Amino acid sequence: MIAFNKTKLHFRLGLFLLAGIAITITAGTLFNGINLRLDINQRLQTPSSGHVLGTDALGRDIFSCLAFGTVVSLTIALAAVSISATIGALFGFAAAWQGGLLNACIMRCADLILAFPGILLTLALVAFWGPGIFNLVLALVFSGWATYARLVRGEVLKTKDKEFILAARGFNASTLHIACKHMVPLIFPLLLTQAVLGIAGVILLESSLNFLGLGLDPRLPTLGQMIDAGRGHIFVRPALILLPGGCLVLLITAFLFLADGIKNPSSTSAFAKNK
Amino acid sequence: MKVLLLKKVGTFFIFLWAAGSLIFFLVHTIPGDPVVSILGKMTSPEDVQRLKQALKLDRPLAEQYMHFTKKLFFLDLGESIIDRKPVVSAIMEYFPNTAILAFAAMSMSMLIAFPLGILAALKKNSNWHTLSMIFSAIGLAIPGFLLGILLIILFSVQLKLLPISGSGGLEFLVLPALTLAISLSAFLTRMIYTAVAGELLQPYVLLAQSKGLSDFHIFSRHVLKNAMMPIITIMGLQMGACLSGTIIVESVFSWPGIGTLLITAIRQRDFPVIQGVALFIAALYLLLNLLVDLSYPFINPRIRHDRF
Repeated sequence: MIAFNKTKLHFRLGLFLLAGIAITITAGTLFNGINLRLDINQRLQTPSSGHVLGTDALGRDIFSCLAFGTVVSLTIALAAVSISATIGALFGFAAAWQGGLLNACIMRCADLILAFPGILLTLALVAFWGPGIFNLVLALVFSGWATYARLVRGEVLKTKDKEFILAARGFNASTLHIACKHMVPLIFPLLLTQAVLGIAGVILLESSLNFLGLGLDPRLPTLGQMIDAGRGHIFVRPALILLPGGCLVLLITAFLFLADGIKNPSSTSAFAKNK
Repeated sequence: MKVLLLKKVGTFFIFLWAAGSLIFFLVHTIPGDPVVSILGKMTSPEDVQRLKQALKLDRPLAEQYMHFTKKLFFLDLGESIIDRKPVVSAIMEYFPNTAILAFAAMSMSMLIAFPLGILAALKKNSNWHTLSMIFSAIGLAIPGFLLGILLIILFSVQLKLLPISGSGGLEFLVLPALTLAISLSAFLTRMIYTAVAGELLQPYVLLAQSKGLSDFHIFSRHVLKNAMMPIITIMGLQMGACLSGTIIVESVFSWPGIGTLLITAIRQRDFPVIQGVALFIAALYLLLNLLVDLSYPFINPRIRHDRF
């Protein structure tokens, strides 16, 4: 099963980072409240008791913006990865189990998706469909399922002809039973590692899109948007870039550590592809 | 060998056509009327109709698709809605800059990754190993656009050494290339380390040592050659990462390449340009992968006969 022992430290570090982020957001929200209101009289304030981290160029409380942006990033990443991993796993399983024409169709589609490097396909989709959380998640799923399909297909092909599967088929077990009872426990750790890496990758993609102003509504304070907006005040207040930047890096590092801790057997390639 | 060569090249063209078709059909998933979304909601119906006719969007989908495929065959990607320039000539104008940037970034990333990765593998219990692993962890966790801005803050705002953005002389190239190179070499360092460390454990290294060969000879003639196979594959993939990385990095540094062309087109909702540039980048990526595939038999003669 999942080998926690060897890279226990990384796993704990990842959890620690995520817990830290969660606690900071919760505590800050409890004491400070989330306030995303624009207040043009309060532009570019330095940290004070009213605004723990100061305000941005539109007079918004930076801490609230950071909390909002982090939660949005996490939500989008979790939604996109869980949907694309599920779809990818189903397609991959179907392709390997059925073989023949279905396999050819699904895998050629996956190859076609993977023929677009990195951010390109997601970028084009978001450009066509326009900004918005639904479109963004849809675009991320559309370009994200193929990696999981390939992974699951490879694993199912490897185990399909093993004796215990043949025995199960000999006992007239249904495909559903074999998939749930025999395949899932074998494949799940791999899929989970890939998915956790995928979360880091999607956070990176999503923040890049928001940086370009193409992800969500650019008026919302997402981490990428805050970094983009901070560029205008690079000489005066670099903190406007460093704060959301730090948040983003912590978030990505947490998931990279976590993935490392769940033991990834091969590589970080799925993540690096998005860079 | 010739048959397989033809097969690989054939697959390349099939994928090119499929990628083109995918983009063609995706343009038709634009919600609502694409012409309205180009011109805005306040336009008169006559103008909408005129642009529709000009873009041939009033014809049946099948006819449009035939037209698109035919044009694609003659490398005609249509013309921009904004300035009516052919998309191909726009790409040809911007692409050299992207090529320069990508080439500089790839070379820089190799200059960083090879020494770091090899040193980390050779001196496994030293600070070099820790240093290169930390470098690669940091490089992986920082998104390209953020890294670019951090480098601007460091080199342009604080140290005032290099220009913030734009293009011109060599000094404008340094920061964007460095940004891309750090992102790329983070992953490459790790891969080189894994490949070289794996080869060092092989029995032939022990044999060579017992024959009395020098460490340098063993490393340069035997280990490195064997470790190169996976590294070449990774570097092929990296070219794709490099291409998609240029899209973001170019827009951070206002570097006039196809990434900037693409982002500008997206902002102006210039669909023919978006379509053309996306297809061009995908084609380039496929072509690079084909070249990497074709280079294997030259690097490793063992697969010349059985697989290729």
